[in-house]
Amino acid sequence: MACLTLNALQFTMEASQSEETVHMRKDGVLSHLKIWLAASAVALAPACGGGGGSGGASPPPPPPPPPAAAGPTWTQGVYASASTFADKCQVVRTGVDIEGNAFPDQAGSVLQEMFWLRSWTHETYLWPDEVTDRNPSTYTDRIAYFDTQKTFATTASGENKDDFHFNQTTEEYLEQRNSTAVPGYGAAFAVFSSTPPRDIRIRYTEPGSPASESSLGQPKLVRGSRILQIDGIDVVNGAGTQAQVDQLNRALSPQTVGEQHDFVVRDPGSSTDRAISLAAANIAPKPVNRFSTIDTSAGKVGYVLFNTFSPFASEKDLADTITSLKASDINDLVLDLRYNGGGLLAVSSQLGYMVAGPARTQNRAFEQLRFNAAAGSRNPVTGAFNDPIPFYSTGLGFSLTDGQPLPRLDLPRVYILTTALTCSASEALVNGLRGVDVDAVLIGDTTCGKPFGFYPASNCGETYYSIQFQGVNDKGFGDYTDGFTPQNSSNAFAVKAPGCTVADDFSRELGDTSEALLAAALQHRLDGTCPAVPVSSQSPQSMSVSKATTADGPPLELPGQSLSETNRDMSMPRTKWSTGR
Amino acid sequence: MIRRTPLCYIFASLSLFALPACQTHADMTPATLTTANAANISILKAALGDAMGRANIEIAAADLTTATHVSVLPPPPGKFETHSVAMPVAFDIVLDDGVCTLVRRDTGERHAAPGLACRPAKG
Repeated sequence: MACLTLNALQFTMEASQSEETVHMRKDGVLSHLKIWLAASAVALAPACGGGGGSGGASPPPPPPPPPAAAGPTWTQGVYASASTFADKCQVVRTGVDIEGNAFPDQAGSVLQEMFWLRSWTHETYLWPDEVTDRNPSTYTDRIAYFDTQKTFATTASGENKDDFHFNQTTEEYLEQRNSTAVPGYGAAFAVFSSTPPRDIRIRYTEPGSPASESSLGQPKLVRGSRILQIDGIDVVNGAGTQAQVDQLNRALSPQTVGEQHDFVVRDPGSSTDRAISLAAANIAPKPVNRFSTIDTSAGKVGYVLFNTFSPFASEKDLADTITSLKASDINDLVLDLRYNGGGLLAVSSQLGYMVAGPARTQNRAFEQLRFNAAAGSRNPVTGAFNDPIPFYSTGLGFSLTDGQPLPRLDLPRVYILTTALTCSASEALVNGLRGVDVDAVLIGDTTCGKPFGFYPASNCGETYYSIQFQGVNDKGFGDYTDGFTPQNSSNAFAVKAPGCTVADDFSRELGDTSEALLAAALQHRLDGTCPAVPVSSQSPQSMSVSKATTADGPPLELPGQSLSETNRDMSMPRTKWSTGR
Repeated sequence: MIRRTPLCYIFASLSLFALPACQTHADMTPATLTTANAANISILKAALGDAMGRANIEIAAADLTTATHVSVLPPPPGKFETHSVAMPVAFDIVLDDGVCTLVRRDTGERHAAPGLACRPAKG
């Protein structure tokens, strides 16, 4: 079967330059990581004693053989400090990493690496009592052992309690976090069907990017544009060979700036096709993609499409936006977080302050990190006192001057547009505001459900992610592993919040007041009602993600899509796309 | 290069008043950089790198000829760090017995920065 590698629903082309080899353990899918099977830590046999000498004088007795190089031994329930085993590596790296730091590796063994995993998990994992203590010496593969170092319990909804346990090579980890801008077109794609008839549409474009450049009087790509052809290959029903699939894949994930490809697209509501050419540029996602002020009969409403808390620039971008909206004298705010997968918690806290103001947030916790019981009042990873994260009221130095007062709107209510891609630090904003009784009204769909966080830990060339804390708000609440969902949702397990269930609407640009989620927010604001039927289901351009078997291909099996669509981390960037042939 | 006063240890461990405790040192004066030219910034980054144990230091944008502190940016969050608690680390710039010194706010640790050109803050 020919397969095309595409990204998940949140795939942005500019962020997907290298073949992804992150190995999520979600949904029980094991990775195909290249595993360096460790050579067994067998002690070299001591050199044999010499043959007998001849002659009269007795030779001195041979020195006693050195003790066998035994590795650490396992005693159930007894854990040495992880520091005992840190950086004792089967394969020792030398030199410096791409950040210029010397590799800390010392000669060791894969057994020591696994003992480190065991102790590190015991010390820092959120639920160490739910991890079965397994003897590392019965494993030869550190990744396989890491896979065991988690809880296998399920939640009331039947989901895995821990669905965020994964690893990647440290080289990849460092490379990714140091790649602020990568070649791409500046378009985020939604894959609705990966088998023929394939359906790939534009979720949004980055301002100032090749995708948003004007061509014949309109942007080259707009929200909802469907990709029909790439470089002459029929994307919808063609690409029946692996070579063609590879060709499509290369075009969708340009590797170099200036790389050019030809596309045929059809815009929402149009019956005609357009031919465009896109040349890749270095793209850094803009946190605030756009914002506007909407005049209504009940005053002005601010709208902000905020797509990521990750770049340091998000701090200044948000502050500048709120300053502008405040100057416009808005009395309500719609935060469009439908594609915001999270990032910096501190910036989320700042946004909470800018929305709610000091009267509601002063001396209140935005989020308290809850670690495992043995940690007590300390953060078991850093060793620092576990102070709550406040609602920061000033710049923190990410991109604003440290100490610079933040603008504020002092609102008692905020509308937040959500989908399953609304995740992590975005959900922390919802939870943090609810914790100080700000009315967070959700319009859209159930959020991803990730109240958890971790400090990536690198050891011997592998970087491990294991849940280490749960964030709770000022009321001590943080149990939203099934996400937040609008009040009228049929989701029985997610945390209900005021608002309306509305399907994502690809027929209108984001920020357009007739776009279904924004329209529903404006309606709810006026009269407290929700659309009777999800708006986009009435639209000919609307669509829902289909996982059904198609006539020409097997069921959709998109690991990344399942992550994002079924209450999982949206950030897995790649997925396998079957040609169905 | 690290010097810690006993009071700093105590107060830092209590997460209380660490900076005021350190700043009560009789010979410590808030300071700014004399110049923010490339050479001086390079010395500053080297000192901060020693203090942080990192080879690569990025500092927050600020006019360090008027600011009495400098913030070191954390490494950027990786793409899977969606619930990142990363924060800049602030250092106060002081003159300690005439030597430009960086005082880490959250711990009170003092790191002398010989060669760094700084002067007492105005006002």
